[in-house]
Amino acid sequence: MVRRIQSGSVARLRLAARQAAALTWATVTEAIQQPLALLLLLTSVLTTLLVPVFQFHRFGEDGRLARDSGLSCMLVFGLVLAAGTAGRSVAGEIASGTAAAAIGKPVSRTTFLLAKWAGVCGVVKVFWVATLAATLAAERGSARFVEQEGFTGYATDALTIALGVAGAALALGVAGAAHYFWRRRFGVAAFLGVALSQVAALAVSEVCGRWFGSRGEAACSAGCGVEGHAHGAAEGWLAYQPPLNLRVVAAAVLVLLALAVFAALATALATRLQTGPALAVCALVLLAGLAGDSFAGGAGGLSVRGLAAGVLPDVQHFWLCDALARGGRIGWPYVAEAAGYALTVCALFLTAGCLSFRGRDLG
Amino acid sequence: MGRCGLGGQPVIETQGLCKTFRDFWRRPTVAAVRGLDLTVTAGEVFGLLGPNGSGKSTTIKMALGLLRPTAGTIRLFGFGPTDRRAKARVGYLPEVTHLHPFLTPRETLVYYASLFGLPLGEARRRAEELLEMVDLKGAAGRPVGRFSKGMARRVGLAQALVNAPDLLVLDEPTSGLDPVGCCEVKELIRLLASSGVTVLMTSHLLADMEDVCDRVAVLARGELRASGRTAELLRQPGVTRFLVDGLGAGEAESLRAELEARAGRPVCCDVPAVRLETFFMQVVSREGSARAFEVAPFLRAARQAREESGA
Amino acid sequence: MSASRARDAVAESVRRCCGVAAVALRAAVRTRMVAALLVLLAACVTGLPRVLKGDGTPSGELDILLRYTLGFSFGLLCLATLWAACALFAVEIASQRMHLAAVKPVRAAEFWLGKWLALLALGAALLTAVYGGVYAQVRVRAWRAGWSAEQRPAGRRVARPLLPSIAEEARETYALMRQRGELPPGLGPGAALRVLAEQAEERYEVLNPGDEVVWKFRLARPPRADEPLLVRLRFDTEYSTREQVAGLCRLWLADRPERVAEVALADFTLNEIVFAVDMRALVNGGAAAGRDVRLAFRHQGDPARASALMMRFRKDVAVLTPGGSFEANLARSALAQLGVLALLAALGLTLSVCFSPPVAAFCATVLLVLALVSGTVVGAVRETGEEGAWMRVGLRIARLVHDVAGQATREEPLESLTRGELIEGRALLAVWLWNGALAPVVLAVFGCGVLRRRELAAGD
Repeated sequence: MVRRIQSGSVARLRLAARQAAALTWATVTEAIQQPLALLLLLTSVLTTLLVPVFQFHRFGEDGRLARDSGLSCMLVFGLVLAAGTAGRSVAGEIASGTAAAAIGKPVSRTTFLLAKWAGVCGVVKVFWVATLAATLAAERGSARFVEQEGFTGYATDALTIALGVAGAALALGVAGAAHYFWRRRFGVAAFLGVALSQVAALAVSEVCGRWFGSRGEAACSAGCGVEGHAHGAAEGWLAYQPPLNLRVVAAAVLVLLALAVFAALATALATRLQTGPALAVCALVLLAGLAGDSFAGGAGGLSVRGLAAGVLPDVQHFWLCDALARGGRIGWPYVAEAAGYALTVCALFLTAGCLSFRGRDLG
Repeated sequence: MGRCGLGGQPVIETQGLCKTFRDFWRRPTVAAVRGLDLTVTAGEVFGLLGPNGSGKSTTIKMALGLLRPTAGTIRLFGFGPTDRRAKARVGYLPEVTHLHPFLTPRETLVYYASLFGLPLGEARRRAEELLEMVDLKGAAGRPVGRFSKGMARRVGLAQALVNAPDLLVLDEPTSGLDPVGCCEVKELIRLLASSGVTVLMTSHLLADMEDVCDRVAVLARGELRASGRTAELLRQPGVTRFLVDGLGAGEAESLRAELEARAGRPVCCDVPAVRLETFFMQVVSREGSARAFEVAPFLRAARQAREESGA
Repeated sequence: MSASRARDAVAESVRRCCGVAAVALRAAVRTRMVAALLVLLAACVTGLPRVLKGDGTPSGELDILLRYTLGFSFGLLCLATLWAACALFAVEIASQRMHLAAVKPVRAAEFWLGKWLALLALGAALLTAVYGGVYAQVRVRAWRAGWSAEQRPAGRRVARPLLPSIAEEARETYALMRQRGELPPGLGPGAALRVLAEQAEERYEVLNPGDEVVWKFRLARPPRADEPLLVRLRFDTEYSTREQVAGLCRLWLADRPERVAEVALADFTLNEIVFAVDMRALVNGGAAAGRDVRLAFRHQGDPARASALMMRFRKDVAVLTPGGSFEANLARSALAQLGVLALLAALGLTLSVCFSPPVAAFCATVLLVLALVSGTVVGAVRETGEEGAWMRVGLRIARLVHDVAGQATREEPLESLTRGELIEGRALLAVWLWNGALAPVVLAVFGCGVLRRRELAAGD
């Protein structure tokens, strides 16, 4: 008897998982086809890559500026992407009747909403990978002050930036060709292509760096002594390839956690609100969360400010760019703790969303 | 009937009309309409028939200037479809009624009347009369967004009539309406047509088309497959039917035998049944659910003016 | 006959525009967009002055009320207008509601104009509410704190020193540099003149201790004995340090140089020094004969210890005369801002014709950010110089955007309002000619062209 009940619940879970996977996949494919998703991804990647090119005031902080800009783009554009995708896939589907068609099948509302959140997170993850790769490239490509025999001044790794920009352009070209010759969907191919291109550009840049490095060792045996570069005496130019700053990854993971929280909030809000208002609420929560200390500092638990501080997610836990300054690191145990906090907040928002969705008329 | 070619003037004329949809790279994807030649004359009810994707709605949208033809020409009252002089004489009910959800039916009608440049007072008067006609007076203050599909359809029909049009283009006019509404729409079409309004309509309900259309054209895969007067197209040549009232069963049987003997082939003799629609209308009118349908006074005035100008 | 037909046609056209505008307004009100905006603006107008702390002086309070509160509210209105405009056509086309309207005898321009007027009316109503709220607060604060007549906000006419125009000065400098062979190689005359004009506007003149400088002013009307003149000066030093300013200001009428009003200055650099000159000492009752006034400043600092003072004559010296009431200036500021809203509405509508709602909103936001950033980029390059091909391309784009956007935001009404300077009618007219007429017409022509050519329906 117990075994039968167990096998029944396992089968139900399996069915729910399969349904959720199908819904998630549909959400991701539907979302990345939207022109807005591609525009946001392109804007984020290109802004991040071009910031080092258009920096004017150098106080030896070019790398930091590029890194902070990249992470800011990740948070702001990611938030818009998450809210937009959630609005379209939840509020939009409720309005168009697609949600009713799905719920009309033996799919529970909870499964539907959780799958939508997973789908939104999936889109955000692809976006995150692309922007992270662009941020790493931008920091590497920023001007640094180099002092060595025969050269003193700012050196820039233009190759990495050029590879990133060229990669995005190539991805768009390939997506266009795929659409023309094989009638593939441009939005999907371009979104995934741009994301992949950034990772590929970074990998190529790394390979190039190692290659230059190996040539550099031989060349520098003459006594140059600057790390991570090479210069061919015959060519008369200097290839400058500083190492990747992988410390950024931890900060970016924290931003991803923040985006997961906002995706949950936007998904919950989209059960009742349209995309615009949901986005506005998310933006307000972001601002309130970032200004948490000045907003709710010292507020009592029973005051309005105290209550707000308890309910609103503290975004400052996820925004630790300054910790990377001057060689600082964000420890992975801290990231794990922040992940726990993010998951708790997500669970809270999603529970509220499920309750709200349960009472929502879909007719 | 006999309304066909009342004025004899062509209202809609298409020649070699083609519409090919293209993709982003301008490559042809679907040829929706291919070389369509049609003429709809003043005062007739013309039906476009065809399965899904046969090009009916595309033809209508080209006639209204919402889509541009890839090749061929289309003229409305002798003007191009985007000419404002032509548009001023057209009323259009699309397949799905997309109205401003936050406006009430009264505001909706006043808005569409204002687009014809009607003074506010006149617009309001017409709106009231049309609301009365489509039986929405009681719901005139509620936002259209909260209406059922049938009610929204009635508002859509009313807005198509707000300018007392000379040409009424109806895309699936009875879709979403209950049988009473369907009958009223058909009655309205007959009334309008009798006053000289030209009607171009599409419908999947062939019985509806049969009831109201003077002429029909059958489209398939964007091509014109058949066209002509409805009665002629549906006539079964060589078959004769007698309808006799008050005949007993024995007499009927003997008559059938007599006819069989004369014709030398089997003769069908049965008790005819009324159509379900007729039966339903009889039941509903007995219960008092059906109301007397009346055309809006301004439409009657327009009809009168048309008749006088025709005379 | 033809005249009456034309009158009828115009009346019909007006009715169509009004019909379109009325529906757009109803949509805004009934979708609760206006209510949400009003709540947000009310929170901003009442909340910001409480949250932001001034320096306690009446001018500090005015700064918070007029510059920050009005500025922030205006920013909100700009975004709301832009995004609402982006949705107006795009949503109607996407939801197929446009089918019903497009088959009616309405010109594309009438659709465009109707929607634009609706946005303008909405913007005007919300701006009135915001300005009304701020004005009430100014009055209440002035009454509670008992501000003096001079502390109360006003709208004064500003007279700047009579100097050669910036273009003339740039041309003269260019000719001089060319004569001396000091022009940088590879710089064309156009680019050189532009750079010199930019420098002329910001050029500092040095006043060493003991130096005296005399400026000529032409006032809008002859000064009156019963109306004191206000003189405004601002000094700087080479390293923008805070130093003592000790000097003597003298003011006289050009046609009566024998009667001079003297004011001793003892203040600091970087401060805005404002003092009143009693005109009874210079004018014998009634009004003076001429409009020309001279102002002299002598640096009386200790030559051994005092720093040289620096001034931008075009910006740091002004004589203010009574011009109008604060209320009228407030209304002019609101009108100038409404002009900007008119331009944003036109931009949003045209984008709305071309793209789907989210893409139109995205493009509009990107353009807005570019317009805001372009000024910073151009300014930064002015200081650091151009480097590399990439930067030159970026700079060219930034300059283009800056030039176009600069036209729209050339007048800074809040700056004038806060400083108590009258917003001139001519400047207001120029703002409206560009923001409310020329630019919207160009955008409308483009938008209507697209609307006419665009297929508004899909196939079966």
